[in-house]
Amino acid sequence: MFRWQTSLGAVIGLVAGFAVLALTDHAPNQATASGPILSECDGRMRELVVQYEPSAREMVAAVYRDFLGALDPDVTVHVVCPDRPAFEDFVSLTGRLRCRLAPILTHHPITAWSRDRWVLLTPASPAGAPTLWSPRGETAEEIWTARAGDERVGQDIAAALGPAARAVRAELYFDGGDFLSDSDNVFVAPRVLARNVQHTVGSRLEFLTMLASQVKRPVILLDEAPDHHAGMFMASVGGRVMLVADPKLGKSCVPDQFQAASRDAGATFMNLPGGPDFTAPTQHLFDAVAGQCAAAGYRVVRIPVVPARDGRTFLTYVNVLLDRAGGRRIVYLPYYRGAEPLNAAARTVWEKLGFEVRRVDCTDTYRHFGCLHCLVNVLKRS
Amino acid sequence: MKTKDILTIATAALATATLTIAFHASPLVSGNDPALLSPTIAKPKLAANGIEVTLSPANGRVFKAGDQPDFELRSVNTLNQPSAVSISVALFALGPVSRLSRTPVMPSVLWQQQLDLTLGPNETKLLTLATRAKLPANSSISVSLLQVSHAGKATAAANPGIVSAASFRPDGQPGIVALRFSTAPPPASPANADAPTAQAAVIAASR
Repeated sequence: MFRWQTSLGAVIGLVAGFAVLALTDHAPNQATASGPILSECDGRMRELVVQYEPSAREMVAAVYRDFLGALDPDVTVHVVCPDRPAFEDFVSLTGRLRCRLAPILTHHPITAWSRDRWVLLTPASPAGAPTLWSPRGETAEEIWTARAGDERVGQDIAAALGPAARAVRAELYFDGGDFLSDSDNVFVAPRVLARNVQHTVGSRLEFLTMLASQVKRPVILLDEAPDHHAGMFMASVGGRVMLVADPKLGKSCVPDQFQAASRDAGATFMNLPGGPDFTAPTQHLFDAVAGQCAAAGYRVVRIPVVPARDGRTFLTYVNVLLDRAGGRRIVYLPYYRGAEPLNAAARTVWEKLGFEVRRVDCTDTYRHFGCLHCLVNVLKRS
Repeated sequence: MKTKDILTIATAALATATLTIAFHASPLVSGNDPALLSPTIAKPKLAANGIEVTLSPANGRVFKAGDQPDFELRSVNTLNQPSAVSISVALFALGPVSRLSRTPVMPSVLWQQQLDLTLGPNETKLLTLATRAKLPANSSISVSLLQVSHAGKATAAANPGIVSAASFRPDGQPGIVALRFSTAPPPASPANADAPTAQAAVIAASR
């Protein structure tokens, strides 16, 4: 028998339930809500995420000593590690830091590359939590145990941070590094379309519609680009200015005797596999990116790059992290020991754009197909 | 109001509030379950000039390392008039990856063939493609279908990527990854399936 006491209790319960959901930012309309994708060139970095596992120690040690060593005390760096000993190893390699380190322990294998694991979607409301938008799956996870573990990192972080972040798995396949976002647009590497069309979506139009609805910014899908992550060949610096890598400028910094192809990796410039790739088809792909950015209304500035003939190894100066301190604009810029003329030329480009340059030694990193931007993901900017 | 009334109201309120929170909070985690994602397209289709082309393992075979795979290529003319298309079929292998690597190396091309397909109105054709290429072990295998231009030049770029970016140019020809499979032995169990949930450190780690 349904009595008035039960009805009154149900009403009170409904009100109380929704009040709790609202207070904890779990209201139904907030459950899946997210704002636009985080711009990579605006605001000050406040919370960062890196991944670490001890076999990568030599690869990342110099990068993290330089980069983390330059961060202020009010910056938190979440260090995703498989276990506590791995975190302790990380602490031992970085030395004394001013920023705050906070471990997140996954209890499963991971790689050291944080950028590709998730894309940060800002909160839909000021009181909301950011969303870690993870891809549907990881490339080659069936033959790569650590990469299969990487697939779970977005959830690991959200679970560890509680209500401060939430994780959502995308319907689409992508790597986080396939996107380059500023406050106006999201540039997308063409390989993302290749991974999804006739697999998760039927057509290019369906892909663009689905992607734009998630990232909540206009999507500019690059039609032609090097087959690599966007952050390896372009960087938006804000104000509709785009830096695009240029092999032609890189070539002018490479001694003549090292400009030809070579099968002997030990005899090539900076041990680039096969030697530098200054061929016309490769130059065309970088130039095509510049052309597409210009067509989108960006002022394009070119900066040296030396791509290798394996199509994966780049000596690049756009794989950066951008920060602000008051009115100053700061770039954490990779450099490579043994490539000083190239380093200097790239530095000049950034300085002419008004950036304070903080150098990060990426000599031990680039051979593994990534660099500073690929290692570090940003959870929060002010 | 009697104590019994208050108790009834409180019980009903507690039950309703609990159900409300549980019901509305659950979508927060459901998005992380891959099983709940929309299914992928079972049979990718290359559509060009009104002809739809699909690819599948011949006789439904499941390929393993050392096999020389044969594929069945099915083309269907959806038009009420004759049509033709030239396509390139390519078999790629992506081998074991360095544990330190950010991304896999470029896949290698194991086999490639160009085909000129001519079909009558609403005609369906079946072709068997024998690759004579041995599948390497512990590799991720993909087969791409690309439309090629009348000049016979593949719309793919020279880059031996899975399917090149150039094939997706809006003014260009379509290209798809028609098949994907692996020659790696299936894992004994999902990676660390029984591992505890990730946790934040109990001890403050700031220094």
